[in-house]
Amino acid sequence: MRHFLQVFRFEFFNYAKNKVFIAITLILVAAAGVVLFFPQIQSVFSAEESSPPAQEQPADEPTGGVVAVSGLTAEEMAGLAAALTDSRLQLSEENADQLQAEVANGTYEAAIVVTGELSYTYIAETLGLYDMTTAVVDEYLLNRYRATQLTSLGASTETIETVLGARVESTILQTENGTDQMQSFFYTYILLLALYMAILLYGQFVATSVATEKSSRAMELLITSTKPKYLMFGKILGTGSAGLLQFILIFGSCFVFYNLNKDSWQENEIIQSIFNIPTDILLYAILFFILGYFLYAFMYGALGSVVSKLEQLNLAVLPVTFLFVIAFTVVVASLSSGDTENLLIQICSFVPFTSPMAMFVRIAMGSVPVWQILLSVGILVLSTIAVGFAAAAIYRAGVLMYGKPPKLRELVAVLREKA
Amino acid sequence: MKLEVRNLTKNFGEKEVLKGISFTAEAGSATGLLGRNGAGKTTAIRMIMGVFGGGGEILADGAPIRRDKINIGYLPEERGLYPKKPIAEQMVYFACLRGMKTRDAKAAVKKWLARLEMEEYADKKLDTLSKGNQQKIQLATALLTDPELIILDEPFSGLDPVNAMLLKDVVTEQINIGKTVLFSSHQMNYVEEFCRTIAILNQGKIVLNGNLSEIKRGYDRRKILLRTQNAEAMAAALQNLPDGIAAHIDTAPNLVTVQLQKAEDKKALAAFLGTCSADFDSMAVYEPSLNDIFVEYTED
Repeated sequence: MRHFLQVFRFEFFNYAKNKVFIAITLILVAAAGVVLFFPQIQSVFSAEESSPPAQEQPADEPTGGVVAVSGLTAEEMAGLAAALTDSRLQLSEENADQLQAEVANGTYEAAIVVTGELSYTYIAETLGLYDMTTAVVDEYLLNRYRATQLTSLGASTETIETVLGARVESTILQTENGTDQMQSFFYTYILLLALYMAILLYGQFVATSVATEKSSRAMELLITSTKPKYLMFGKILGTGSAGLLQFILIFGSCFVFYNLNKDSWQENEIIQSIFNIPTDILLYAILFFILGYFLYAFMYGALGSVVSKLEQLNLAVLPVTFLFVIAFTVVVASLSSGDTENLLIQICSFVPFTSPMAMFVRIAMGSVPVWQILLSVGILVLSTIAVGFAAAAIYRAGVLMYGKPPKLRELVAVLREKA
Repeated sequence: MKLEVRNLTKNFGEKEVLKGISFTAEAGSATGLLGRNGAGKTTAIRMIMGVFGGGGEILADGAPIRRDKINIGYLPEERGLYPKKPIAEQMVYFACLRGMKTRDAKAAVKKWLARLEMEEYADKKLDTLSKGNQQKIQLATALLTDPELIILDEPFSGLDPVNAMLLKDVVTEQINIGKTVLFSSHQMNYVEEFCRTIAILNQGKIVLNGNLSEIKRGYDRRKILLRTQNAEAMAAALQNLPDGIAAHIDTAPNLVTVQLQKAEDKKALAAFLGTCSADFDSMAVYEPSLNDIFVEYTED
């Protein structure tokens, strides 16, 4: 046990005292600080700038380019302009072909050619990802049509306004175990990304660290000084603890910064939803980080021990990295589609190599029966232990193999011999 | 502590590297494991260190060796420490791994760095040192825990004569305070100076084993070397030797070698030389150097 603690301490401080490691942590904490203090920082700057009276630009002036409108009366266009606040509308008598040419040569940013009661052509050079113009025009024309029809049926102006201005009020009630996916999407995404990065990053740290000890030949002195299991477990726990500490520092400072600036972020729903992570989800994230990290760190450690030179390491760890990246891709695809209960992710949430991320996302984004969580965690724990034993045996045999990386067949033979 | 190795065997795949070797290393003396490149020295040492298993027995004071109980200092053939770590820090780490308390480890590191004249490098990274100095650090690391059994695999390779001398002094000190020292080498001059027993390993087998001076005495003492300024005159004079004394006479520049028929005849030869006109500088019985013995036993 004392030996394990020695190795643990050495490996932990290997990172915790490393200048690059400390610098990266501080930079990330500082970056989080800048982002979360942004409203305050902004207000300091804008306070300085706006101190001379700002008269030149009225606040509501549209910021977009000029959009030509044809086929509407001036009065109708004013109505449309009230809805399309971002663009400056200009009435035009030209036909669609002429306007298309003018949009092409840059005279107008876009053009709206109303061709009938319920039809129009929208001419634009680039259709922006968030261009809402057509939706606004659709709504405007539809209301115009409804108003015309209602007038012809003899409705009064007030009635028409009431009818068209009617809005539905909705109240959403959720059962206790459910999750609001809109609310949970962002923090789930961020925690998933953190899980992915942490497991991959620190797992590879372990592989590199083992391979370095091998290529520098410190390994022979190490394994004659203490037992390989202490070396391996000490290294994996030491690296994992340093990693966890780093993440806790970064995420913890985000929380502190957010809470210091809570008032400034009240209007930003995304930021608010990110920091409204329920405690149990956070605990699940830590649980799956620990289990997933161990599972992958064992594999990375074993692979690190079979290469003789650092240069061979990237190739050797490729299969494991691939496995993990594929798992991540599957989970992210499901998360983005909003369907976190599809068959694939359900299967993935029980397969140990994918379950840390898959089960976590299922829990965060929906309601998973308790027995499924227990089963998934149980499988994960058992496989981690099994992989741990196999990794320790490979490590024991691999640390002194130099030359060509051993073939799988040879490794199996070594494992048999040990058993 | 007495280290006994009995009938060690080891195969790497098809290749039989050790074919049943046995030797003994006693407390208060140095035992040299000698052999050409690839003879199996490092394999034997690694088996003693438990780096890998194989056939045979390794006994410490008559009982199977308990490596976790016995304090062993080890200098591996493939030198290896952390190149990017400060020297004192990693020395303390290795000492702690081998069971020392941190405080004692720090004191031992200080002591050994001073003994090997390396104090100024304590906080330097290992890879900033020259190869010879790195080797001194490696030796200091092996001796930190004050081990009763010291195993040095090729300790002299890469050391300049001054550092080799320093190493020799350190090892001699350890021998004098009763430590058991086992080391491998193919540099016979160093071995000859402080090894009491040797084991010559050739192609996985011990071809010669025992007390070095006894081995040397074991060679027949019929060969007499006569150093002279005029070898031809001496050779001519020796033609008049009474019959039955010399079996064979060889001449080389400044040296005449007389192979006697019986070792006891050297006095008769001396008596003859007293009467003969040819001058000579010295007369000596030929004793093989360790180098000669080594070459004799390991030549293909």
